[in-house]
Amino acid sequence: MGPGNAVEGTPIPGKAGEVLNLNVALARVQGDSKLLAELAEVFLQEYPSLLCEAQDSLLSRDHVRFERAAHTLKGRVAFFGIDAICKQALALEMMGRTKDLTDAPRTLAEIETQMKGIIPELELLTQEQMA
Amino acid sequence: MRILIADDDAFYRHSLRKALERWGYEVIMASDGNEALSMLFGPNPPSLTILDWIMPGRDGIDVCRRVRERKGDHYAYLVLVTAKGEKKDVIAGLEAGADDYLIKPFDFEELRVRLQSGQRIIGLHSALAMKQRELSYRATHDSLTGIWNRSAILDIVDREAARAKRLNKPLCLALADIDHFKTINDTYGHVAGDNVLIQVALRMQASIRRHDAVGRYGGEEFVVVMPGFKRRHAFRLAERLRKRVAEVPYEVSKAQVNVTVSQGVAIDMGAGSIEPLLRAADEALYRAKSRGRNCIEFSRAAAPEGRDIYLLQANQKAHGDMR
Repeated sequence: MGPGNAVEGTPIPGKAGEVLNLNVALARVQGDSKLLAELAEVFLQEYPSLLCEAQDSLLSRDHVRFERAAHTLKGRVAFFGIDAICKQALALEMMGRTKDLTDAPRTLAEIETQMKGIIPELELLTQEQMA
Repeated sequence: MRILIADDDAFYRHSLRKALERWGYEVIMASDGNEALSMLFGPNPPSLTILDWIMPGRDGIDVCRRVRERKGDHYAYLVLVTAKGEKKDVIAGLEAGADDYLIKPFDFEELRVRLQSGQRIIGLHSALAMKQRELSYRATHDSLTGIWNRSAILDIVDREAARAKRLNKPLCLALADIDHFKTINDTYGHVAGDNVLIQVALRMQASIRRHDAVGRYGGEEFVVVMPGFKRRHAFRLAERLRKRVAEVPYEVSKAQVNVTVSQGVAIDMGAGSIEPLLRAADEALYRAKSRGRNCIEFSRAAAPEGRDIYLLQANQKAHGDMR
């Protein structure tokens, strides 16, 4: 996808019905699709370890680590305009901060499911730039 | 311009680095607050820092506060970036010392113009700091010769006298006056006279030790401050100065002119007061002039109540053979 092909405001639906709004991200980088693809690649590379960090810290009931992982996830999904997951990540961050992790496993599992639908779109973005 | 990106999130570090390099900035990176602080306090600090608020170890707010507590010539322009977007957060960030505040995820175009704004401020600050240094130099240095001016050299004498008193060490002071300077001026003109003053000052400057000081007292008179010197060493240095000034003729208006100085030297053995020291050196200088010039006279130093006076050999002098 390049700036010339983007239709302003048109989101790309993910498999789980989540919305990935790459136009938002593209606008954020001044239409630089190459830069956006590089950042998508970094996101994809780091996502598995970030998810692991959130899951490990939840298992070990480490509120501080969990809050930080949620905070990081929130920032990254916000960059790509994934607003719904951003809100959920914010909720997780608050759970870590208030040390109430009761609902955290469910919310984290929801995020993981939704991300499974988003990831292929981001992978497509990186592949389009390599082509 | 050198920019520091301080963010524990590798994604944001990468994205910022890519963008900044495309805009022509030199980029360095830190992944936590302590690392950022050590770079900001290091020998070659960045001009501008993009600082994440929430970081491990030390957060961005604390970095801002620490940077602002430290005074110095270098101004660190700080841009705080965070997902915290409420008014109270913005206020807290700016109060802590941030110059600007960006809410994540930020727009790169907005970042670009804010960095330009920061560059303008940094440019103004650099110009101001340079002007201050220039003014400070002019306030303490003689505009003709470049050595210490009268008030600066007297400050140095005052300081060294206090130190000598505290440490119970001697302080040596010489007053040096160019011989027949009026004749040089009248014969060759004031421009030539100025050139002689400059050359004499340079030669004297080149003859002293690193922790000595030479300043222009007024007209054709110079003060040389020699901390820690006893009589024998003071004589050697004064003699070195005398020879250095006299050894090579001066080019003056296409003529070769011999220039000499007379010196009056006084040593204070820990009294801590500069007026008697200057007076004693002045009296000795007068005797040097009376004895034929191009020579060195020593005097005793004044001493306060009850202190032992260090009495030097009267009439101790040396004549040069370039007259």
